[in-house]
Amino acid sequence: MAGTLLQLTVNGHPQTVWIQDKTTLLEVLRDGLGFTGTKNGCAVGQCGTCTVWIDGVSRLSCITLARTVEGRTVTTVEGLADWWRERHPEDVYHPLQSAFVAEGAVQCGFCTPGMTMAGAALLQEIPHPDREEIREALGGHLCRCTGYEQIIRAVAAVGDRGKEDVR
Amino acid sequence: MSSRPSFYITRLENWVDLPSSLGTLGAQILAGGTDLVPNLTWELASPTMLVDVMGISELREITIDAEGRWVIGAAVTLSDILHHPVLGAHYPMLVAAVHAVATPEIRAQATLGGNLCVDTRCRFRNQPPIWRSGLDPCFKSDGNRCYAAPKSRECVAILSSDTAPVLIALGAEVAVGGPELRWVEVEALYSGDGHDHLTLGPQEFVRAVRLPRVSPAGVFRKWRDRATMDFPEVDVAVAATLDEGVPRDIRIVVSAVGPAPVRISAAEVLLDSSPWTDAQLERASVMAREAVHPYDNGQLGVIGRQLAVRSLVLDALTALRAALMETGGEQNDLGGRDSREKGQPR
Amino acid sequence: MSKMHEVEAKPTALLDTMPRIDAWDKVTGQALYADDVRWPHMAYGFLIRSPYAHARVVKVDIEAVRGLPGVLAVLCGPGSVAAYGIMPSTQDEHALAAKKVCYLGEPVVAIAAETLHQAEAAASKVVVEYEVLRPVLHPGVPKSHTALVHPEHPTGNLFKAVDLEFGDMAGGFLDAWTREDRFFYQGNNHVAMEPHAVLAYWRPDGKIEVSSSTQAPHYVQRELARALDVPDYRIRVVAPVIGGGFGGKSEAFPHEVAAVLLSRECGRPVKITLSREEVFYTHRGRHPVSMRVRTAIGPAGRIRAMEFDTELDGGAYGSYGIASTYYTGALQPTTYQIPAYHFHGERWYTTKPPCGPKRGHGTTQPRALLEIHLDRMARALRMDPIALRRQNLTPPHSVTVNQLEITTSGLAECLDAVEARSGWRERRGQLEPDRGLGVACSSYLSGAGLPIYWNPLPHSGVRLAVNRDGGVQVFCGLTDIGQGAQTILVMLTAQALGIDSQRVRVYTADTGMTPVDLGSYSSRVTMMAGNATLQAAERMAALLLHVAAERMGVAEVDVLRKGEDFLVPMADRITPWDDVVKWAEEMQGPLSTVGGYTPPPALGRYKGSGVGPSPAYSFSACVADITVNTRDGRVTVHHLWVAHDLGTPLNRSMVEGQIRGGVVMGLGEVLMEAQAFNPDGRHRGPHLLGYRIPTILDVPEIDIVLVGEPEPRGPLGAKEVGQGPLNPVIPAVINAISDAVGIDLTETPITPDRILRALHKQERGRAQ
Repeated sequence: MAGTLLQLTVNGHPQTVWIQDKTTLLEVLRDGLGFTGTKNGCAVGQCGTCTVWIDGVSRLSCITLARTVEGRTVTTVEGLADWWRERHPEDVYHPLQSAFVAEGAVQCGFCTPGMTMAGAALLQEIPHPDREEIREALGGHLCRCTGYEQIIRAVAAVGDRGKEDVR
Repeated sequence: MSSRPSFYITRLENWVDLPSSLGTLGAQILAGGTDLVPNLTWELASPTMLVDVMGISELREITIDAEGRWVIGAAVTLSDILHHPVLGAHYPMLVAAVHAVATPEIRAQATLGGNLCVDTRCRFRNQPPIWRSGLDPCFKSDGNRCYAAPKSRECVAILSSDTAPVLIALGAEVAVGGPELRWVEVEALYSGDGHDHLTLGPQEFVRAVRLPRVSPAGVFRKWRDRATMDFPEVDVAVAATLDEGVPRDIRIVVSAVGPAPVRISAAEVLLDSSPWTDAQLERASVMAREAVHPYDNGQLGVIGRQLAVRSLVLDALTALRAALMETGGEQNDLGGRDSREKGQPR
Repeated sequence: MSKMHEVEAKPTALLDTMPRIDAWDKVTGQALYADDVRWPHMAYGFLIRSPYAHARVVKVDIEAVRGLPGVLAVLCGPGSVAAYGIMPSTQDEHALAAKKVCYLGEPVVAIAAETLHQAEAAASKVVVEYEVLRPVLHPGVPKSHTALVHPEHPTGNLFKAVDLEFGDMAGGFLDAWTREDRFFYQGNNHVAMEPHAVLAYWRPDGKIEVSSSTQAPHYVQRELARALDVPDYRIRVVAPVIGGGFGGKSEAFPHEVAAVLLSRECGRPVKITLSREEVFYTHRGRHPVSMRVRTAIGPAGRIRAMEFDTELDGGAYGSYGIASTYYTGALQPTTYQIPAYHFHGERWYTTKPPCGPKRGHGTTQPRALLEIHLDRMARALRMDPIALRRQNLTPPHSVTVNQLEITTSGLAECLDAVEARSGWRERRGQLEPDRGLGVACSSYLSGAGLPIYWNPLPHSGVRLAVNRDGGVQVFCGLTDIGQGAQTILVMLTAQALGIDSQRVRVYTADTGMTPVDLGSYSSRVTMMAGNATLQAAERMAALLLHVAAERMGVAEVDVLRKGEDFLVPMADRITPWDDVVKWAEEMQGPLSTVGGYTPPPALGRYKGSGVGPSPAYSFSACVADITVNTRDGRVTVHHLWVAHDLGTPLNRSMVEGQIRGGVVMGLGEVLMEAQAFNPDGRHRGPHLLGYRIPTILDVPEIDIVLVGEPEPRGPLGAKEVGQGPLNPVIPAVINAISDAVGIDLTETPITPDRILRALHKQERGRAQ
């Protein structure tokens, strides 16, 4: 079947990709554009490893048909630091990335891109999330290595940091 | 990339064009796609054309009609409902059910209409491609047998919509669009046959959901294996309105135990005519258990699902009684005493 | 909030809380996993797999596929490939099935094409005719010849039987109080978040490059060499960043062999990435095991003798099965003194995906029954379950009845810690209805004492180089599968050389570049690669000290280290590391040292004594606090307390992560996970909604306590932590359920259906 062109913005840069209508956003990102930071753990929306932002909202790219994000803005884990730096020029990386490193929230790292994107989206919505809000927001993200606790701490640490700034 | 069968996507801006698009052979609605896209990836659906309705602004609005009733467009996402500034205060049970659907990412994409129309599921069909390739097709796959219930003459796949039982309990209606617009009770949306589980005509679609002007008191309970993400093994929604201290319009709905939600009429009658004592609530929950006949096609086994029905109905009715007593004050005929510890929906 | 404690009296030598060296790459999306790697002009491979659990392959017609758009190579049958398998004594696998398929998902045809889509499209054109046979789903002697999984196997469906006896069994059981219990432990899958993937290239010069998601590049290289009849040195296996293993990536798989063969055929690199469904069929997960234990107990609750029988459902092929079988009998005596012990193990072929090693390899299942059994004995003897265990603990620095050498053991402290922190004494028996507390112990190896194939060589080798830029390179064959092995090497090297960790780079998991390390399994890496690294680094430190002394004209004893600098106090002279390094290169040429580690010899001299020995054992205890909902059968876990003796913790954050991950995996195994099959041999749900692992919302509060003393054999005193803490969780939860509602469960996972059935049976029993 013939393809058509898809235009979208990925990590701040406009992209034009040749796709079929059946192509998913995950396939466009990984295979078409080489953003392999976004992972494919199940391909059917059951694990959360493929999470990206679509217009700032945390979404599953494996169950999103690429055609439906025509003209929209996608942010992947590779672009998270750039996105943050645009708003906070004093930082090089998103504070949640630093917190994941510092809190030991990373083991094998395969869930990390999805966890980070979901956690960062939560922090946009709720700057100082409590433990239950963090658990709720990460409910769709499976991790087999960490038992989740250090991931919760990483998100909480960023929220707490913000609290001090407010004071 | 993937062996997903090929199809075209047509994006509509106006719902008026929808019926004729749906009239095309092999056409299917694409809304959030959280149910459809996995099914495409697993080759469980093979449309030739998907009609993307997310660009139709009328379908994405939450409005109040002339009679003061809330109307939610079919393409309103579940997270839009959760984030709505006032809807939650008026219809807490609906919000509880919406919140119980899947995960935050899926709720950001899935729509109310999609959740109501979500395809039925079965442990013998909703499986990946290699698994299915050696099996003769079942009813749901246009074959002529059922693996879950070998003696059944029709598909017994499960309706997994968490909002359906709640909207039935609330007495909500759906606007069915098509060549002509018609309003039906949500209950009437489901055929009872898992293969063709909706009563929609070929060019029809769910356009909106209309809620009653005043919400009855209601309680929703969901049983799923894990604390999040999973489809329901059992859903229960109960609702009643207090009329001069007497509970009326009692609705007890059990879902996710077959292709359509089930009203437990006997229990509704029982509680309409007698005080809500612990013993009566217990009787009602036993009636619910006896009224449903799950097959072993979910994740939880048959016994587990039957007893979960009883447990959830009792728990929901107990919580409803407590809620009614709170609103009804002294003047009530509820007859309740020791309300049990409330369980949380999982 | 969940916490981690260290017992105050603990003589900790915490080196570092340094973050993992790979963490930044993983949070920025830079880390390349096997499926992320691309080689120029790469083709895509696809495997056609059997849709039947058991069938004869009548005909395979691949002719229709040749010449289809994009198709580069099509292969079927064993071809020139020899049988292979991880254990030298059981070489029973082929990449592509020949005459029979023995599990649903067994590869039959391999196709390479320009794109994955073209490969899949071509696959739909291949005609495979099967004669479907009845699946063999349970161990046991089959009734007919067609129910033989491998008709040529000399003992029918019995893969292997082993039998061991130690001590005076007859005397032990004579006139003693005995109890017998049985249990079925269901199989389960690793569910590493990264599905397996491989990229292989048969180069024009005949060298073979493989990049694969594996825990054991050395074994993959070795197995590929056997299968392809190519010298080992022509094959280079590299493990890129690995997204979790847990034992599921510990040997060569059909897709790895197939990718190499397809590449040979088409002359281009070929990538094969498994779908999640294929991962469940590739499996090699925890064996389902039916078990029986009978114990003779003497006065005061001392164990006199024990019989332990296990029957493993091995699936279609050998895998690590013979080791798994021995492991189901090996570690019972490491926690409890058993003066007389008889073990009988059998592993059977069935037509299901092959089972193999999963975190706790072969010890998790018998540990569950042993700990449940102890609780039931304690109940019968009216003893406190912890008190009964204390009566029987294997003491430190002792030798078990099956000749395992125990060095340090903090098991008694583990029990003390979980007893105290859970409020066991005050709370047990005083809880509200349907709530209960349960306890269990466990222990695990810090690396297997013997390799998979017999050889007298080091288990781990390190080559260490210091460059004139002042940096240090450490080469070691180990694989970092997410546990943090590379970081441990950096820490140990920096510590031993007295330098900043930034100076150290590690190069691992590359058979073409690194000395052999056997792989990331059996919790062996910190112990073995850690000791090898320390040896190489200490040799380098000595070399540099020697050079520094010579150049500064003093004796070696007069040279001290202050930070990175070399200091001669009496001459008031300080020489920075960088200068000493340059002196050394000037005097000796490029600087390099090596280190190696071979475990101490095992004490046992009996057949089967190769499974169980380890340089040192970790010990754990767990208390679970749960409530059973008797109406719907749901178990709610409120809190887990886990104490673990790993000697000296080297990196606090990584230790905590290993323990939490293991504990939560154990929680999944006991409550929800099952690699279970329908009567037709189809997996119950080869996907992440059908096979459910705990989500973030399913995890209770978990308190961790680290106990124990430095292990003299461990690098800087360390023992294992990656596997041990999983084991006690399962029986602790089951024992807590018995405590809560008085039911004795007989199989895992503990689903609501099983609880409800057991409660129903209990009710009926009471009524009678």
